[in-house]
Amino acid sequence: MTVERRGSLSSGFAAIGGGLGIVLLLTATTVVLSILAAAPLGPALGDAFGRTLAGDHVIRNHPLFAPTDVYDFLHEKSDAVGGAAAATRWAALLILLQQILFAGGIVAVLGKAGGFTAGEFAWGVRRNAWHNLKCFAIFLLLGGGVIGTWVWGTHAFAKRVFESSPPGSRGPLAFRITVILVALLLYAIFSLLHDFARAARRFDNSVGALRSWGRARRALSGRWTRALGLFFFWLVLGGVVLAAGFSLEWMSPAVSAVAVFLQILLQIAILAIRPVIRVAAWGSYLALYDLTEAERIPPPVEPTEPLRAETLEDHPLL
Amino acid sequence: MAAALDSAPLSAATPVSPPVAEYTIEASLDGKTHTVDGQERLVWRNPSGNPVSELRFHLYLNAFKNNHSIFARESGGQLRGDKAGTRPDDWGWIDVLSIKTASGEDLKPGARLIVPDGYPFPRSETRNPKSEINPVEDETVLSVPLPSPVPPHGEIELSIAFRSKLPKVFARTGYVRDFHLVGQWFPKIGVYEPAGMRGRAQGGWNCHSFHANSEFYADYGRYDVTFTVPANYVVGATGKRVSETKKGDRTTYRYLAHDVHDFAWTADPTFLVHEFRFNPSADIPRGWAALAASELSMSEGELALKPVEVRLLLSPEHASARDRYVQSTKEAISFYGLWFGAYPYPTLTVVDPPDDGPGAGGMEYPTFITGFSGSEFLRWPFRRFRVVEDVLIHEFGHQYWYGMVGSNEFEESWLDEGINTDSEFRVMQLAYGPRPALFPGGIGFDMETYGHAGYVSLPNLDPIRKRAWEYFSGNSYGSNSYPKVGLFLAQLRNDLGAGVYAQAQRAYFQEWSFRHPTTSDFFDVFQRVSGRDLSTYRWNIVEGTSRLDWSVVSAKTDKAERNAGVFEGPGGRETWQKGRVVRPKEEKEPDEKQAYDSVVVFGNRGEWAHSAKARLVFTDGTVVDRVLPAEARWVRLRIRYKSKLAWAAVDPDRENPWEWSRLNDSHVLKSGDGAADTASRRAVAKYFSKAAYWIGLFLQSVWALA
Repeated sequence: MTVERRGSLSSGFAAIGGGLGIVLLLTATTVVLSILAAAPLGPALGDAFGRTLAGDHVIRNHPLFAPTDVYDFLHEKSDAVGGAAAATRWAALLILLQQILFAGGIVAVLGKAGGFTAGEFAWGVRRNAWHNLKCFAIFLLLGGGVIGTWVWGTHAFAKRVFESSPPGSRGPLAFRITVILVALLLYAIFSLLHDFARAARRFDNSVGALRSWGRARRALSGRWTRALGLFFFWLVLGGVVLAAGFSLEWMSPAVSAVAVFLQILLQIAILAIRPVIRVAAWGSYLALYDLTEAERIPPPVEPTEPLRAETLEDHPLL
Repeated sequence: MAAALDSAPLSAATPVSPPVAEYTIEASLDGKTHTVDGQERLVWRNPSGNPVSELRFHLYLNAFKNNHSIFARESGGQLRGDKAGTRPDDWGWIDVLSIKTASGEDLKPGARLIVPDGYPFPRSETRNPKSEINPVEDETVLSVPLPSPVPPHGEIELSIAFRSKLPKVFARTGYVRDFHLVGQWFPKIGVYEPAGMRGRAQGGWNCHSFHANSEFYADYGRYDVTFTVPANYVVGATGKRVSETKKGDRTTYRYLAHDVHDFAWTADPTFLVHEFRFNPSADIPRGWAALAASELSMSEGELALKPVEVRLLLSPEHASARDRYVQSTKEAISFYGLWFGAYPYPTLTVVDPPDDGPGAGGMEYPTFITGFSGSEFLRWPFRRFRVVEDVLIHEFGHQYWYGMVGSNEFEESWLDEGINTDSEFRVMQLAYGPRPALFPGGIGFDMETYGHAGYVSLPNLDPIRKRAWEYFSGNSYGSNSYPKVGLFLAQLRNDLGAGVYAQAQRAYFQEWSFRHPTTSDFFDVFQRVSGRDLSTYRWNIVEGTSRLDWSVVSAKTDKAERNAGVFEGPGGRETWQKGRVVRPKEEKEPDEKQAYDSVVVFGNRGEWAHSAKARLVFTDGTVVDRVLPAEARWVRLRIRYKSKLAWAAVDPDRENPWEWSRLNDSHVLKSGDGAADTASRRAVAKYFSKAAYWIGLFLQSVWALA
């Protein structure tokens, strides 16, 4: 495979442009699954809001009437709300599966010189599907086990040690913050190992899940600071952009038809933030992985032309 | 004693003098074992015309003695987020060590624990078979037979020694670390109701067991309480502090309180103290006095309030809540004073319990209330949810409803909690606008939504008035005691008008303060002041479960049928076809103007017969209002008009808070001009996409796993 050589951070930004198709695919999948999960609410909203003044009160945020109307909707249409909640749980399962599978396509094509085709992406998805499912299972067992043990253990410890501490005292607060930060760090570590294990299929289509985790560990060895830096960079950048978009959407009143339409576009744009960041993070990780892979496998030696004995043909007689 | 209190004469109904009960208590708190040793001298005066041969006492703390008490059984050991008995030291109880008459006669041998409300749980092996008194599962009521009856209007003096062990904070009392809320802590005499009082045919004791879903009922009296605590403790108590004496590492405080029916105190070394004075000339919010005067048809001068010395005891982690407490305290004193009558006591103590003692929050004792300011409610995004203000205002309101108007909380909780919820709603709306509880982005709810949600969220099985422990669930007690009553009284206010309602409520307060009214007394006053028969409210809403549910059953608008056929016109017989007279082509007549027939059927699906306003709005913006009569089960309105019907609604201005469902109150056919301009269709698109968007955000959060 021929890959473009860049710094891992710039590779991340470059991946957004290069992997625009993947961004669109991830966004579209989210939007479609969200609409399907929300579908049970459609008739209920039409009935409760579309054919009564309740919709008018709520969209105009009537100070006295809107809250009661919203409550009555949630109460009287609880079956529809419950249906949407159940559909959301199934959609969550599907999107989890989709993420696991799409990762196979991403590691196969992202950062590839000269771009990629949908067929190549699909080939990657298909080729790495089983491998990625096994990698996910390992991630869930290892990461869940370690982080769960950490959180449960520290909770039990805090309960015993800080039980008689007055509320607001600094010790328990500092301890809680430490627990959260360490849990986040552990999550980052396992998440990176998981991504790097999947990236192992980039150059070796036959590597197994367990070996790829071992390879990921070796690849990250000596590069943890850089890898974690990348992880937190994308986490913070994504968090900030997402928070800004979320606030903008939350605060926009959107009453007129045009405003409602624009708000829907804004919602789609916000739902695209996470795919952009995910593809960018993949771009960074793969660039880092490619670097380690390049060091591990020495570059092929350029074949030299064999010496030939000169003949008279090379020097034609004058 | 009276001189030391320097309280002005009470403005409401005059308290009984001398009072039924006079307590003189000396107590000492052990901050390490959380026990209070006390010596109580009680003078009890028989208010009836018959001799009384037995006294009954509440021993409330025994509700927390073990998991067999009625309170523990009913609550399942959990209340307001607190769990009882998670550690051996969590239990609380009260031991009566001795009871003697003034002449030294020992009454303890004859005393026995009784369960006046019955014990509706499976009986198990009694934990204290060798109990000194007698073995029963619930030990919250003590009966003390007297060697000789207390004569009619006579008195008896008793001397009682007791030891109270406070429970870990649970249900309005207890300790956590060094914080102590000392409530329900001494043997407290029940209420002897003479014949005729509260509808009684014969005199008798009203002294219920302590139930999970009930609060209290007691007679008014005088309290002279002296308690000793470790010197580093900061204290607050019912009444007014008259002395403070430090001796070694202990300090003794003496408090006096008149015309109150309970005494509670608090002690904690970490309290932050903030004292301020409510000054009527500066602290009544602008416009409130004028509004009260207008509603009550009184002059502002007649509504003059008195200064109050307020002592705020803050837990350190809630220091930032100080100004919110101060402001809402001033608002509460202003509202209740202006609308019902000036707060008559010279002092008020406000206690802010710590985060780890939430069960101590939101409680009212005379001139002593506890607020609620969990740290999370002081920070974004819950800061403007205004829990601090709401709870403070509600608890202060109990100084009036139950504090001064001493209804029986065991039997008619709506008379204190419910009326107070209505008052609290009004203060919150006056002080903080139509939607007092807000999240960022203007999302929040008004107080009637809180009432409505509490009303419709449960099966409508219980009426408002019921004995507290007889509701089908704790939530039903809660709904019927608080939000449903708030809603019912909002309905009554809308029907009577704000002025008449305010005057009736003030009259009820003035006539029944320092007395024990019932539901009948409430309706008697309101009927007299309003001049209306309110029995439909009583029997349908307070004593029944009738709902009001006007709805738009159907609405349609069609082109009016055009003239067709042969008609006898002024110029002779005419033949009409499709709305025009059939004539030769050269004599073309203009078209008959197109009109529309609109037919709307309104129906009351509820059980309560009450009128409602119906509104029809046409696409040109024309509004037509009609009144749907109370006795009608359904009404059909037909209107021929030049424009199509845009929408029809019943109770469009929400003047019937008792309405069960709001979603069936209207029917939108199409949007139009002016009042007919509705955005209902757009709302469907907007909120469907919003729901999908939120689901999308949730789905993407799942990505973190993969």
